[in-house]
Amino acid sequence: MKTREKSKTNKLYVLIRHFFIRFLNNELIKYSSERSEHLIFAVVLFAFSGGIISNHLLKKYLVAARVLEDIHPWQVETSFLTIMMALMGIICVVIWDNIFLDKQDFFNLLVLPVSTGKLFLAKFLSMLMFVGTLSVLFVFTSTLVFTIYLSPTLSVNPFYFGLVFFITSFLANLFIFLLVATIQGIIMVLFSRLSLHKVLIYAQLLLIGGFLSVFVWYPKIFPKLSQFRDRFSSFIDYFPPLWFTGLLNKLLPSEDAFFTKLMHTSVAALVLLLVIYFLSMFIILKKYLKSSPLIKTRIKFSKSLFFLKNIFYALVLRNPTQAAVFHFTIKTLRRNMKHKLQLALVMIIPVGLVITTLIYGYIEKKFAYFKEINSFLISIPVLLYIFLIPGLKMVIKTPAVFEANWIFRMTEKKDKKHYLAGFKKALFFYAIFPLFILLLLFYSLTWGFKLAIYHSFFGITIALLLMEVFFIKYRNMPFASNCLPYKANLKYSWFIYLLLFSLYLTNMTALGIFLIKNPIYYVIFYVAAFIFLIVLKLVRYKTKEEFDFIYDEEVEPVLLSLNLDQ
Amino acid sequence: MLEVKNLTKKFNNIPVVNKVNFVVKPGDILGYLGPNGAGKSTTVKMITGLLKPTKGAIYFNGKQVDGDNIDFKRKIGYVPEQSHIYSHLTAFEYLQLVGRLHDLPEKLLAEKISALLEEFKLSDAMHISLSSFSKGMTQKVMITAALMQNPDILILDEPLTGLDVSATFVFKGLLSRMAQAGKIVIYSSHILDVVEKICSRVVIINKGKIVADDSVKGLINLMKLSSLESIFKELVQQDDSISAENIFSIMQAGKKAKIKKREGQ
Repeated sequence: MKTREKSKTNKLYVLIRHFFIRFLNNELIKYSSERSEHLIFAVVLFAFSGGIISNHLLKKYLVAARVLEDIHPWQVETSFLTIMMALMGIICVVIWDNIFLDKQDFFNLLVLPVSTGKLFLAKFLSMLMFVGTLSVLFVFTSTLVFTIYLSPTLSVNPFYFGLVFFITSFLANLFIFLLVATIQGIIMVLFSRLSLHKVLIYAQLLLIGGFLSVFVWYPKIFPKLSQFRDRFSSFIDYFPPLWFTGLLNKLLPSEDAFFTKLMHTSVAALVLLLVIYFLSMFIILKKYLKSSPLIKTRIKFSKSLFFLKNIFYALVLRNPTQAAVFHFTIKTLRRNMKHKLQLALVMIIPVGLVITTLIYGYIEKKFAYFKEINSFLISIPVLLYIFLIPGLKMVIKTPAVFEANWIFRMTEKKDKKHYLAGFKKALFFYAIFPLFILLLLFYSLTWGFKLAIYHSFFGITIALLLMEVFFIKYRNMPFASNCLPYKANLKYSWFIYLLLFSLYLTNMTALGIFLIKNPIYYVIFYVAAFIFLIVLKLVRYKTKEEFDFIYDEEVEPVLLSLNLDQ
Repeated sequence: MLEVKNLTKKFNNIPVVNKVNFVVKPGDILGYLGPNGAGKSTTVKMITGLLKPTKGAIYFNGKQVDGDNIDFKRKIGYVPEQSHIYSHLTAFEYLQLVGRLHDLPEKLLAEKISALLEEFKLSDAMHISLSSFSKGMTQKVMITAALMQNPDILILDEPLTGLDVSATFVFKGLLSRMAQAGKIVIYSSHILDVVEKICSRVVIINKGKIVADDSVKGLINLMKLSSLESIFKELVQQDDSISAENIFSIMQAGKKAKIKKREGQ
């Protein structure tokens, strides 16, 4: 009897451990294949980042406390919670696929003598463990810093403050986890299996964009928090880190009605999310068990679309190899989560910067800001393309299914120009051209159609030249080659990259301003661009003889001898 | 004619394939047999150019070929042992990718894909992502990919994995038909009864070395055994046979029986 009871407890333990490790196996991190030092490094980095962030926030507050009298401790607490919750949000989106019991769990675990209830319980407990572990890691050092800095001013027992601070941080992280889970759960419940994958990818991208954008707009909001409180701004009701600041202060305890209201919101939100999480988990289970794995679908082109498709093929994709690489590149970019996330992570910086600057431009000058030809508006295409093209290069260097590249290796031809043309055309139609259309629309609405045409074409010409420059020595089959990241030696070269980036951005912006004010010079610009393009093609043609696709990059001899390739 | 001469492949200086020699003539279906880890897939990968031999060479119609020989590669249809496939593509898209890389014209390609998938009863699923396919369905797609460009040499590495009975039956018939048309078929497998039925010649490899090379009938007469299975047992599984009795006793351990250790352990 005792043995049986013991085995029952073990089963739950085994399941919790299994689900916990699955959180570490996601699109970006493969726990089993990574070296343990990487994980330890990540843990240490994560643990210390909490302390460093809180120290940075508080030091500033204490040193300048008398000068910045309008900044209160609760504002600093809000800042810390905001950063922590945004980071937690990003982690949750990365482990997105493992939040709910998935197809793999259903098919592998439901056939074993394990009850559905136990599966639910194990998944929930593993989730609590995961959030708890992250909270402990992130909050440990910061709790110390907050206790040292704030408890004397708040006249609270330091240990009690530490405990309350940890509990609040844990609940704030749990809130974010449940929020992401709830969004995913609602999508999984509402959408059919066919559209589900697409919708989930877009939701994931939006969420990661949202969490990353916090780092761009929050610094500008921070000084105004006090004003929001005084004016009873509705911002307070919709900003979750403030709810948990309320909870923290209420537990300290504070009698301030402002904190009481915020605490009530935080508790209500947590309960609501917990209910939705369990409910959606239950409905998803039913959905998986009922649904059939295959759904009959056929894509039918209308006559006019079929005609357009044929024209496109005749004009752009006459060669079969080009067509093969073109479609493979576009479909992989469109469908693979890993690649989309990589591109989103690269693009979030310039896009965030552009959106924030435009919003602040509007706040300061209303629509007049968009009418003037200022250097920021001119620099938008220059800025976006300089991130987009290296970003695309980085993304296509990540293999889709490395082991499946045998099909490219077995069919590889001597002349590589069609392969190169195929994926360059794909990158153009997938990313560069849509951005061109978007910019054309934006500038048409702000500066009028004529200037929009001038500047958008200037932008796309620069983009095409950049693409040629970035891919001039490209030797990998897109999404089919294994590239070694440590080949890029950034130890010394980062400074050169930064310098080149600054030079490029300032000079191209200056050129853009000059050309838009003196349109006649566009002719010279396009002639120069054309000559530059020809030179690049010639350089490429000269190196053609020694050109062979690299599928598996060889490890440097020095790394081999030091056994660092493992 | 495809000729393999002294083919050797070493990994970390350990020979996985050791001085392998055989010849396959047009119209031959060569059964390439061996237990797991014998070196079958490594040999196949060297023939297809996916691995470079450490020593030895491959000749096609008297000319030496290697991994860079594109004309030779064009003639090969290959079904790999493990169905590594781009699962984010649909069956139609994957076959389109393969066909285009083989330079098949668009119209012919689309017609061939539709017709072949219809034959394999996959036309209803052709626009579904391969990630939702079963093992057998994926295998059918891999076979279709190998057949599309009408190859002169068909190299199959465990091609029947996951296939249903009717598909297996059709496939076996197709191989005979291809042999009649003068194609070269190399059929690497450890499923002996299929090899016995369809292969005109059998090469048995064990621990990287060839231990038999003859027709099934020739081997039966030579070794005076009743079937290919008994020949295989005799040649390959003498020294490290897997004992059903041992496995069963290990299964029973903890209830009645004790785990019996093998001799030498």
